[in-house]
Amino acid sequence: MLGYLENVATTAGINAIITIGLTVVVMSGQLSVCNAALAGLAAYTAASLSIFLGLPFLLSVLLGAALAAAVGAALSLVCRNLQGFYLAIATLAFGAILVTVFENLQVLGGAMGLARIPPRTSFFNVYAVLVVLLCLLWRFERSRFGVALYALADDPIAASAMGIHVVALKVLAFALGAFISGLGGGLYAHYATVVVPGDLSFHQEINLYLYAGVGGLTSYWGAVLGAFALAALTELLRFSIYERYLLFGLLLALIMLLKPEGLVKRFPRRN
Amino acid sequence: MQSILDGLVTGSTYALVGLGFSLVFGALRVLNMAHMDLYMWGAFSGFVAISALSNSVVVSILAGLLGGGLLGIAIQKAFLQWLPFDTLAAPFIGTIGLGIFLQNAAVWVFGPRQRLFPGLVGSEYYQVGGLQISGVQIIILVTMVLLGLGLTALLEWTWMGKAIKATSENAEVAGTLGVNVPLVMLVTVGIGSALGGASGVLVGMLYGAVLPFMGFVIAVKVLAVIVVGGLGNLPGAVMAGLLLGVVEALATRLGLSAIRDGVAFALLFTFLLFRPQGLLGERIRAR
Amino acid sequence: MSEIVLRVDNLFVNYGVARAVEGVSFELGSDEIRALIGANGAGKTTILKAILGLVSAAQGSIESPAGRPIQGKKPYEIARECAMGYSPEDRGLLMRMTVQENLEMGIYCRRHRLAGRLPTLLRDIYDLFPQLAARRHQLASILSGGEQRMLSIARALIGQPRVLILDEPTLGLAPVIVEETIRAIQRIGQAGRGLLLAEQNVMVATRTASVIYVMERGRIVYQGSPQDLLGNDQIRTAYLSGTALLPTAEAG
Repeated sequence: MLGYLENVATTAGINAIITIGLTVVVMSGQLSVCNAALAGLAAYTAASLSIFLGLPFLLSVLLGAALAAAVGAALSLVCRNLQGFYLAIATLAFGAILVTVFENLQVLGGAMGLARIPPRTSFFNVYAVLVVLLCLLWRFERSRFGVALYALADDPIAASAMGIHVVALKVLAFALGAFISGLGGGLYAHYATVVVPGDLSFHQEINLYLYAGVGGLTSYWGAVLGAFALAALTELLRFSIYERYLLFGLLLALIMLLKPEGLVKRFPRRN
Repeated sequence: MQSILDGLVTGSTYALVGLGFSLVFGALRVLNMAHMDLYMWGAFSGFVAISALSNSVVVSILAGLLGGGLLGIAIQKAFLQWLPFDTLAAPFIGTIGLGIFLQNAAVWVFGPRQRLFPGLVGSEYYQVGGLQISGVQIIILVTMVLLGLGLTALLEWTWMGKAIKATSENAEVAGTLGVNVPLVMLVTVGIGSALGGASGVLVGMLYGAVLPFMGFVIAVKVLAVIVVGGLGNLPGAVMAGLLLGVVEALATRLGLSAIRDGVAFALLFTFLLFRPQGLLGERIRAR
Repeated sequence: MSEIVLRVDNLFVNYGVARAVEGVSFELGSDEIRALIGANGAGKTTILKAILGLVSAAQGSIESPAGRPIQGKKPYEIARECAMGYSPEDRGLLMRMTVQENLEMGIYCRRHRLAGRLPTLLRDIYDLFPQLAARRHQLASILSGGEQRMLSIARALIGQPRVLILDEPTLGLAPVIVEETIRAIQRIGQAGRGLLLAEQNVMVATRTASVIYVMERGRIVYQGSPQDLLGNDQIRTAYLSGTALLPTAEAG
């Protein structure tokens, strides 16, 4: 029983980490729907490094996250002039491209994915990472960088007038979010011991948005809350996978409709 | 040459969905990611109509139109019109959630596996000037032309059409001119969704099967169509849809069938980066 | 024989927590032109928007030509009920439609009654505005500023309104065009119609309106005829910046 709970909690923790990455990106005003894909990219990378190069667990995860960050930064840079919907569409397409790439890369298992990843992730290291992350983010929010990020999201023109280098900040935010999601991805790879292209798919992205939605898409505490709440919900209501998504889709739609600012307020207060 | 014809056929189905999507975007100023699932439900409406009523082409297409349209109206009234538009993200994500809901509702009703769409016309091919064309392909092209002409007639020659155009451009001004804006939005969404539904039925006929995840499959293609055609630009959507179909067909012909789906991505990305307003569109301001 | 076509009574409009309009009351009769003047932000546009249902009134009543209260109703309900022609500050044109299509939309709220007479109505409008006739099938977006203003007014007019509301009709126009516009307003402001004008350009108001309301910070601070206005030293100094450049007021 304890093992089972540990299982659920670990998975929830991993999801929380990936979702936090998403909220960091959305916080900067960039509507990105490819964080799941980036996490998956990191997962594949970390897994490959562990399997093929025999690198130690921690190093693999960090490198995987770093790659995701680099790719995320590049994507953000390339799309720097795209606003709103256009950016969302671009990230959607990018995510889909990544899925296709991994499906066709036979060296990484193609559609069957990569298996026999050494299981190194445990309840403890996931939560260690989560706690460290939350502490760092707490500091970060209150730092100059964090405030600049919020300013950017609220009003890019005003932010620019205040001397904030908009593009650099956006790219940085994207990279940071990708890195964090990537950490989650690497941890996931060494937990599930299998990574498949489907892990990068849009369905996973929906999950992330669901968790994030609880926090109004911009509060990472909300993301954590969302990940845990939905993990609990998933266990309590033992539906088939399709019925579960039925409920989740409805839930997401309803949250966006009724309380788009989320159930958890972020700092600083919007006035 | 044959490929171009085949491409025009698949392109027609893309064009119809894209047209509907663009129409809805023009009215609501939100990318209705659930549109793809309306397309799927239209396909299933056709499927049900055939199973329950008659094996007729016309009936199934009408069922697709009705199914898509009614469902579209329902989601507009119950959900879309209440979306808060002060942020960009919330409505968009909301429609994604709605889409997932609709998709899994279909799974709940019809099961996750694909259902075979019965052949309604024989599978013979006709010879027209050196090219081969099947019965289904003819139906698709004819339907596309009819629906396209019908839409154009509506928009150019009827008061409702003018009201739709006015509302899509500037809802506030339209209101002061006496246009019942909420009603017009409802009608627009209904028509757009009906077109999506019809496209679903046509695709079902073409490939002989319908699947609750159909919407997912064409999602990126529809986005490519509307970006290439210009967000909210109707003739652009048609052109872009046909273009996409033709390019995909040509790519297959040249032996690059593995990246056939990649064509949509490539087009999408290229346009997003270099010409986001598409071939014909102007930059869309938020409502 | 003049009747009241618009009555505004004790109107209060808020923008958030700020009072944009405070306790404004006035009437408009058919066959007359009245003007609201004042600086930007004095509340003129807000009053017009409240009349049309584009902003909601916190307090007060607005009555349509039929004497029915219209405050709180939606714009299209108001449009249908009382045939008010409106030319907004930004002209409110449908840029992607042609001149003629814009004009056609002008009778939308009464299309069932007027559709049959559309050719005649169009011809009358084109007689009144020959520049528009020349451009009837061109897109509204390629018209010049003055022509767009003309189109906006023409569109407001074509539906045979009882009340015509013009918001800053001469804003941003070259002096020659302003002259034309003034003359157009003078021509229009008769024949059973009430015309309500909001203007920052006092001269336009004094040359067209019979009653002028001076607004400041959401309140009417003065009302009178053009002669009263120009004869009042206090108002003149505050709003008309000197005397030597003023044209003598022509009545209406």
